[in-house]
Amino acid sequence: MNSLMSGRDVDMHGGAAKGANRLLASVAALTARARGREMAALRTVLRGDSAWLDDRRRWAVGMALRATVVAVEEEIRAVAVPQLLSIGEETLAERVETLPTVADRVISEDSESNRRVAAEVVAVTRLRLLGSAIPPQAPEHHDQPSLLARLAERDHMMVTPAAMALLKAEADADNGDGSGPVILPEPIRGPLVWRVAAAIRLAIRSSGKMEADALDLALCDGARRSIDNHSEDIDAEEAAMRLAATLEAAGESLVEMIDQSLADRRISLFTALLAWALRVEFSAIRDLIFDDMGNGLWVAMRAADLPRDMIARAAFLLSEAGSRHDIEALADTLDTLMEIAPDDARAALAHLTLDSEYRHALRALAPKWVGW
Amino acid sequence: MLDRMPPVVGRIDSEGKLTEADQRLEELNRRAGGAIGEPLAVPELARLVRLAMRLGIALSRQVVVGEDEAELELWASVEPADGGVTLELGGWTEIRDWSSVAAATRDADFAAMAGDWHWETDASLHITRLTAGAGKPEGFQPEAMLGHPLTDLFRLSDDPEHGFPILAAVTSGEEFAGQRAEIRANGRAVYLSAVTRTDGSGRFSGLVGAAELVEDADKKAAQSSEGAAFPVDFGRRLDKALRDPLSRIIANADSIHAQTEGPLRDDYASYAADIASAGRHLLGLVSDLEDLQLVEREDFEISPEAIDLADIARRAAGLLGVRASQGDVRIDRLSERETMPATGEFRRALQVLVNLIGNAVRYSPKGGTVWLRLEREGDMACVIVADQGKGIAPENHERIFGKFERLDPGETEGSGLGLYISRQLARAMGGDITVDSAPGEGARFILMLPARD
Repeated sequence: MNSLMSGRDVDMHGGAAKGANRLLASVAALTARARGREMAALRTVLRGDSAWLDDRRRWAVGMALRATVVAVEEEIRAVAVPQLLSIGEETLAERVETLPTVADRVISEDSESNRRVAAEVVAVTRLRLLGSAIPPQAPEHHDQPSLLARLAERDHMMVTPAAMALLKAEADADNGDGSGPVILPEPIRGPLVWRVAAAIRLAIRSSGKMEADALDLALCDGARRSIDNHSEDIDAEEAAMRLAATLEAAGESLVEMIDQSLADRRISLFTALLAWALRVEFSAIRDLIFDDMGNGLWVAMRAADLPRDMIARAAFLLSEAGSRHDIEALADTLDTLMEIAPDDARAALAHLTLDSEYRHALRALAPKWVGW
Repeated sequence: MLDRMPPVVGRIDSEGKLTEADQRLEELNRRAGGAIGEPLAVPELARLVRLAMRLGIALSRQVVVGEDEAELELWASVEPADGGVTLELGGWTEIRDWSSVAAATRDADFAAMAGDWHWETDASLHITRLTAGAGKPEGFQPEAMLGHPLTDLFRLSDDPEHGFPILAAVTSGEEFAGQRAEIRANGRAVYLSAVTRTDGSGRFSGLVGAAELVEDADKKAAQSSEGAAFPVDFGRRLDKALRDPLSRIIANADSIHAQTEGPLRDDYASYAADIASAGRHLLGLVSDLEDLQLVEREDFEISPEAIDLADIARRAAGLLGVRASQGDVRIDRLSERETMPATGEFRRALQVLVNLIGNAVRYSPKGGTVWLRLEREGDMACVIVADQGKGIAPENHERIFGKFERLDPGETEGSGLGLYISRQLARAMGGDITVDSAPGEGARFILMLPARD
């Protein structure tokens, strides 16, 4: 793997040219670029200085971030208030209930943990907005249902519930403008919940130790309950991954599905199918979609053994939706890309199969590390 | 409106030369400086053709081309064939001032307001999205219907007068409303409405719609015909339609004013401040109108709770602190230890006091003070808001509480509704607002609410 990653002229499997090497090497700095975007995400949300975010997107991200934090806050209060009432602390309960939202205070804190929350909200919102911007494709025949509708109706024991779960998760998530709350992954959500509980605590003045203790207990219970309730959560991304796994188990061609999913504007499903095909995490492919400086997404599609016309179609639709990939550049390199064997492409992406937390931790400790 | 004429076709060879063209395409090409047998001269089309040839797949895209002094929007489809490509152009539309895309979004917004439940279908009318809003009736399981044909969920009724509005919509691409139907699961009658979604070439690609229970709709119609000032859900519709765009305007104007993207010319930054301020003003009017239609309703009720007027007065003063200091006005606050238990609705009492204290701040002279005092009068708990403004003549003491009243015709701030709404709220809570004032002697507004012992 080291020789592939060196980026110099290496003869692979019968003479793939320099161009192929360059394509493969461009995947290397992916994680570093992803971390860079993460760092920018918090600045983006707070002060709006990202090139990607035009006014509409910045608004959507701001709303989504706020909605996410407010949702956590509501859950904590929904547990704390009845608990305080049940022990006779009525005034305290009322103060917790009527306290104005602490979301802005929580969001404005500059910390590693907040940066990760912001980055995740930006990524999810961005993917949603990208999906909704894919131009609608009318099918050849009117009576042919769209992909997910077809799968949901099919009456297959495993596929049908998985497809319906995805339809439901996407419907729940999406106000149509990307501004709805985001379900955060466990390692990112936990710290946020505790910070919200702490912010509520600090905003309420209690008189005397007994009140303070009661308040602390109630807020801790609220926070713990909020974390437990969500460990079973299925958001659109998770539902899409499950559907992808189910489809493969049911003998469907993932390659066919990848092609149809974008035409059906189901970008979460597209991402999940590609991720599942390569046995990497959803967020790894999502990062590739946003890695507009690199060619990682094309290499990934090659690694999944997609034929030329499907790669071209996917690239075109994403570019039309505003993904910022240079479609002209892809058109130029498409022939070179097709010379790469799927196995070589897979090898180039091998580091993406590692846990995202591990990759993230490596980058956090050593931002300038030149590995991968 | 889309052009319903047949598509215009042409052929381009492997070197990019236009070899055949229908008349309209030939004209378009000629005006761009080209001719048959030479490279395609319309830049946007040539670019799409080149891309399709290199990618090796069929591509379609909406394209804007200039023709004389107008701009045309076309749907261009390119398909590789025999070494070259065929080019098909459809949907010729002249671009007017507002884009057709924005109109589609606006239509979808109006459709969404038409009912509590929202549904979407794909081109084959299979349900791709179904969200039940408030008040989901029994026996109705939205999740189970996903992916199923729309007719599995609703039994459509044939309306003797209007036929099947939904069918007309699908074939003509227009929106529809008032399609009667029945929810199969529990037999409840609904009205359906929707707008059509089309792909760029104008082909039908689905519906975005709403459903409303007939009994709710009929109730609303009856209520509005009873002569209420506004239809019953006016406030909610107004909220949805106006709040979001206004919030966006304010947020953007604020960030321009704060020059977050880099330095600006001073006058641009201050224009932005004006825009933000006007946006906030409008948002305030929206809130006032919403409240107005709410307090006018016969069934308007307050949920009484135990409140502390002193606490609420302190909060209201806190909220207005910045505005007060901007006008160089001091608010003389109540001490932390004071309490005045009363009965009312916390949110509404706060709203009233913000209105009263805000007025006092607005009418105070620079360097002046606004006083807050608490008093118990019999079985009423009172907050007195006193200012040092120019005062109000006795003959106007009732007038100022009237709807849309303004004593000063030059006053542009506010909607003229604040005191009217405040008094309605106070009365709904079992209290009242009175004023004690004379010209040159400032004004004292007194909010009274039932005291709680």
